[in-house]
Amino acid sequence: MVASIRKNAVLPPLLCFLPLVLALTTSILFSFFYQNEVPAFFSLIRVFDGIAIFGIGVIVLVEIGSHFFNKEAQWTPLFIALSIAISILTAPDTLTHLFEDPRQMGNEVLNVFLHTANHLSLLLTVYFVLRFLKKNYDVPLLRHERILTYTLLIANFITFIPLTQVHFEFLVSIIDIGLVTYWLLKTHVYAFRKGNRDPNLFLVSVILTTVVSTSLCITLSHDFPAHFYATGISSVSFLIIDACFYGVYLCYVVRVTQKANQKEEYEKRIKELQGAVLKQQIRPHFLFNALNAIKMTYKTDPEKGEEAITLFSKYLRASMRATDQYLVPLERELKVVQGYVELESLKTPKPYEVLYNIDAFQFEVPYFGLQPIVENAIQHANLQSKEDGHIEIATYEDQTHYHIKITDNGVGYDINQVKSESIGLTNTKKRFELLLNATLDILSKPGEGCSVNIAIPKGEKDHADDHRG
Amino acid sequence: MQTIIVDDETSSLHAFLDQTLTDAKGEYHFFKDDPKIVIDYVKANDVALAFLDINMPGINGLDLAKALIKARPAIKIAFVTGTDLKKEDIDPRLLPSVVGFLYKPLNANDFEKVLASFHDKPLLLEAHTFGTFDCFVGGRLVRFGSNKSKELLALLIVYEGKSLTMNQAITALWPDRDLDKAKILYRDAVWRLRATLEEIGVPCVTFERAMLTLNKSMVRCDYYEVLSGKAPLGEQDFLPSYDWSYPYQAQLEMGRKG
Repeated sequence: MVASIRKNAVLPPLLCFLPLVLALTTSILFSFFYQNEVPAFFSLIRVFDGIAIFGIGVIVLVEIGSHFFNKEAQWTPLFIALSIAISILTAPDTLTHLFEDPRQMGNEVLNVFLHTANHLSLLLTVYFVLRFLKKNYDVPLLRHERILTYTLLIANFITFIPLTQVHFEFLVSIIDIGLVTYWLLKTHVYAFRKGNRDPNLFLVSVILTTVVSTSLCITLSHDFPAHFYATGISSVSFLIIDACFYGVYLCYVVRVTQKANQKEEYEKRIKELQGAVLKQQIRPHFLFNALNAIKMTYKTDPEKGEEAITLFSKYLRASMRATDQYLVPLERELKVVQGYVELESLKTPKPYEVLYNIDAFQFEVPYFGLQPIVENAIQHANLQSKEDGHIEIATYEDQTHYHIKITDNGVGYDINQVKSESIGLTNTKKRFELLLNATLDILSKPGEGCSVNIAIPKGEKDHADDHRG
Repeated sequence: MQTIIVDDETSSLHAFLDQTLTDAKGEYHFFKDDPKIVIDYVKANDVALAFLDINMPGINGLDLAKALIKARPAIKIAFVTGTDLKKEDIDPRLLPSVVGFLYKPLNANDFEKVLASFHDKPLLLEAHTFGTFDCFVGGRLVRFGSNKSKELLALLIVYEGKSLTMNQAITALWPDRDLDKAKILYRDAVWRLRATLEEIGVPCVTFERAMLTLNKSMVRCDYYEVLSGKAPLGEQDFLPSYDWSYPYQAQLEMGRKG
């Protein structure tokens, strides 16, 4: 297992350098054998270049179209495709179709413009790849990294052309190569930590490696003879970038489709669970008992009866809202719990105490997520048999989680024997898991009370963003 | 100030008049759901505030609100509803004119909150500390979630806006309890006090971790009036139900003699 982990960790980064090795080897070999002519073989590569550009053009059109039909469509793949297309079209190698040596085209302004466009489009490819990594893989872009990267990219735009005039553009290129290499290494480290299991990350790494190698070769070849271009370094490199980008795009489409299907499935499941919550809350048994208790309260104390009606209507209103509000602030849920406890106490004077040991409350819970747990305790813990019967709702936080602990000192029970009420607890558990990736554990033994422990990871909001209340 | 109330159900209009209206100074006009009559009235009269039922067969309350705002842009709207309607459910273009919601069955507490929002004046908590300790909002007695949460507020009042730490509160309110249990009881009292103040619409306490602070500007208290000399010290004892109040009582007595 250690050997396979090591293999998995080391192999992908090594494979990423293949394009660089391939490009350098190819260029050295062919420059050695072919001094002045462009071999027919490289005409074929240029045909492939054309096909590659055509393919990227198709992707650009598909991506533009997708934004009209799919609100989940991202802009980043489109911009990556456009950047790659521009860098291919403005590559020195493409220009050898027209001139033997692009530096001898005779139109210095056009030469500088194309050189600049090629250079900057490579940088834009890198920029959009970083955005892609952040958006789809949550590769962290730390604040200082963002500032440095954006500063260098902007500096490129400003300084490249003037430096070209004095033949010092290689300085900018060296800084850019350093920057791209840094991001390449960071992507590799991230992929390594994830076990290098994602082919998409690997392909993105290859794109970055190829950009580094291409920039390096073009920079180094600045003072080399023209035939260095003719060996087709750029063509080989861009072919590799193209192929990898197609692979990345395919993986991205598959991933987005899978995510959309998962989201649909998830939404359906949540709606079912929330619907069950509503059914549980407005069951006739509870409603008629509450109305009866209110009626009796009116007889003995009309003012209290009025308060009871207000309380009951608030509770009902909250229940109705449960179908379309999935997550609410803890405080709101605790008000629901408190409302339920007060309604229950209308039936008989409360022989137990409910304590709210709230030490952390800046987080959210599923709506009607805690109430079923408290209801379970009130209905089954037989707290009135204890002199100091109580239910404690405690919340606290540590570095990684928010914790909720609902305990009672009642008679306890064998969880497996609870039949109809377990539907509420099962529903609650599933909603905590689905909405917050939280865990819910119930510990109870006959005679020893019951404890329900919920642990909510901090920062969990992937599924829950659209369902806040 | 002219206020209109529009509802298709006569019983709701009666309930509004009978159970909800606490402001005797204003001028109130009641309408059923004929939109033309309501809009014409608003056009012809300086109506400042309109309570509109949402679900009416003649016209939807939201549409009526738009028409009234068009007729009189300065008018403010409060919606009366049986559902759990909130600001997020309203057309954002209406929001600048919306001052609140009344939920059926109607109650005076919500009405007070809407009026406070309309006048842009926060509700004040009136605290009576001599004799029994009671608090009032809009003349109505505040019911606290627990005796200890009420006592906690009393302690905050005598602290006169200075921060009250958890340890200070525990020393005063639970002197004989072991610390762990006392902390639980403290947090329970804090949460209940927070819920009560939110319910009555007077957020006069700032809640921080292990520290509470009273905003004196939201509290009108007979104790403060005695301290500032605006009112004389009466014969009734100061917060007699609470043992920790004795030093404060003694200080007041010394002030009277001095």
